[in-house]
Amino acid sequence: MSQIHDSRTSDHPLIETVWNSKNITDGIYIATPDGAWDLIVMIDTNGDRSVMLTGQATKPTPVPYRAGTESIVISFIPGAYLNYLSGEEMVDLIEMLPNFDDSHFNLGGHTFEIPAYDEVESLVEKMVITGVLKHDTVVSDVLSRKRTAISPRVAQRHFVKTAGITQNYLMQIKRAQDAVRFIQRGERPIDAAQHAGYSDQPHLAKSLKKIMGSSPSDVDDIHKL
Amino acid sequence: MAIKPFKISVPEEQINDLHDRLKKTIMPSEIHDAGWSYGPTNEYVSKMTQQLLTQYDWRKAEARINSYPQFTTDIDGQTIHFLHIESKEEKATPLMLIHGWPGSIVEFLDIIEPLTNPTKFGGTSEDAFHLVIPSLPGFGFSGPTREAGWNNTRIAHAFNSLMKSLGYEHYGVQGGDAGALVGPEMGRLAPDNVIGIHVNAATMGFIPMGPVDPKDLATFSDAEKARLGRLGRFMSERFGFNSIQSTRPQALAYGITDSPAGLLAWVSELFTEYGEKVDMVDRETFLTNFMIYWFTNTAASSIRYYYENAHDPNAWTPKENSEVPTGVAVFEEGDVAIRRYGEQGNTIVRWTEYAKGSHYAVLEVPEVWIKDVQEFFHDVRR
Repeated sequence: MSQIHDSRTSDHPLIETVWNSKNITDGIYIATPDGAWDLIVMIDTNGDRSVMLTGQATKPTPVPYRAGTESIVISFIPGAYLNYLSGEEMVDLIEMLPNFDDSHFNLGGHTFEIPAYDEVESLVEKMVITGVLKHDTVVSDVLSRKRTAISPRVAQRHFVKTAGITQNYLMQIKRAQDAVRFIQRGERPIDAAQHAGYSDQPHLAKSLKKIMGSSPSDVDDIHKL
Repeated sequence: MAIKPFKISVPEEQINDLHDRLKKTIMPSEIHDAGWSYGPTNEYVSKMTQQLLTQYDWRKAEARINSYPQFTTDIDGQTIHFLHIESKEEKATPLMLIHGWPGSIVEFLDIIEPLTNPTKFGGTSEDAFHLVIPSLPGFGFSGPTREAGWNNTRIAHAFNSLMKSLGYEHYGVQGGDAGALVGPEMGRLAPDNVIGIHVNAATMGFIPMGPVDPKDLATFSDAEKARLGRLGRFMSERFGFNSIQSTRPQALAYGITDSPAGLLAWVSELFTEYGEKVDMVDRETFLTNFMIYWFTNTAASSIRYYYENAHDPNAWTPKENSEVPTGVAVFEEGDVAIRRYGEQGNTIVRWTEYAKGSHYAVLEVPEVWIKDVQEFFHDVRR
């Protein structure tokens, strides 16, 4: 096994999931779209840490990794957004955030402590308090179906402003993720297709190719679901 | 509006070039035994250039400033450099500190800790501030201005935008010299965001606009009469720098851009009270301040600030009262502000007068200055 992944949920309302990946060997990980933008703490073999910001991916991206390194990934919910970046600027963004010193990094003109795996909530809360991290409740409400009477055009504006991707594309990503999970659990691709809501297996295969960069028989390494 | 982290890193060639120019300084002739009556003396300027060549350590000063988080952003087409030091007290009051001419962010370095971490100095956590310390557009690491129009109003707009982009909806402003002009203007432009304005070394807006009727003199206190006298003397004997900078700044610009001794002599007038108090400000701070102008090539754009304000069509119309609570600290050895004039355009809720301290009070009497700022904002928050 070249990577060991651990993950947890969070009781912070703006965090979707927190991941901890340890890289055992050198390798290349295919980062697949998952509808979330992330803050990633990268720990190198010396224990030195740096922070990277990645926007919502629209296509699979190969990410090389070295043995002995580690990363902590904070995935944010779709309605969470950064005050200084528009949704458009976020899409497919990969940005190294400069360190202020060994234990602090800069984001949006503020200085934050680089968190450990079990401390990410205090970082995210500080980001909220300083106003750097904001929450568009329209996006959250639409996704949780709490708000159904909203005009699609208005909802779209909110999605594009915060998530940078349309609600439609977000749904496609979620559906592809569902399908991968079903296949990983042992379902046949034809059943997973129906289960996830695709019209047929070719439809599933096409979607997986576009979004996950793999075919239905080849989904074992996709972990960020 | 991207906000990028920034660290000062002056290339070694620039330091070498400065040393070369200093070594080749051509001294002007002077009248023997005239002291500072005509302006800075050869003795003073040589002493300063010698200090820059031998004892002064720029890298140490650079590292010191870099120990604080700094950023640059682009607002209204202009780079704005600023320090942003957040208190560990999350509920600290956001406060912008604005320097003047020929000052810089260097004036505030020693008070960063007491203002952001008051409990360490025997104070209470309620007095903590998050500090935003910008370099005025056209000054220091904000870099030269390349457009006309960077007057107090345009600067105030940019600084309000800066606070907003940092997520600060409600914030205080403190300013001395030019800062005492920009601060009140920020209040006028964003009265719902600026919670309080504290000024020292206040001039325009706090002084008489024309001659004072001799009949009224009896109604002034002794301290006020002394300030009127100081203002009169300033206008008749020391206003020259202001006039040339307000009318033909580019004529002066070449001398103070090309010659470090030229720039140093020019700015030393303000930091030594025209030679009356040669050690008013500590040497290290004075030289670091000078270096910032020198390394960023902002002498010329900094003096254009005067031209822009002098040519602002709105300069002479009375300013409306923003009603933002304003506190004025007067340091009697150098200030000229008089309450009744300040009250014409500002809602003054606090007016304090201190016997000690002058134009650079934050450097000369920091504990007094800090306490006045803390007390003013304490009252504002209530």
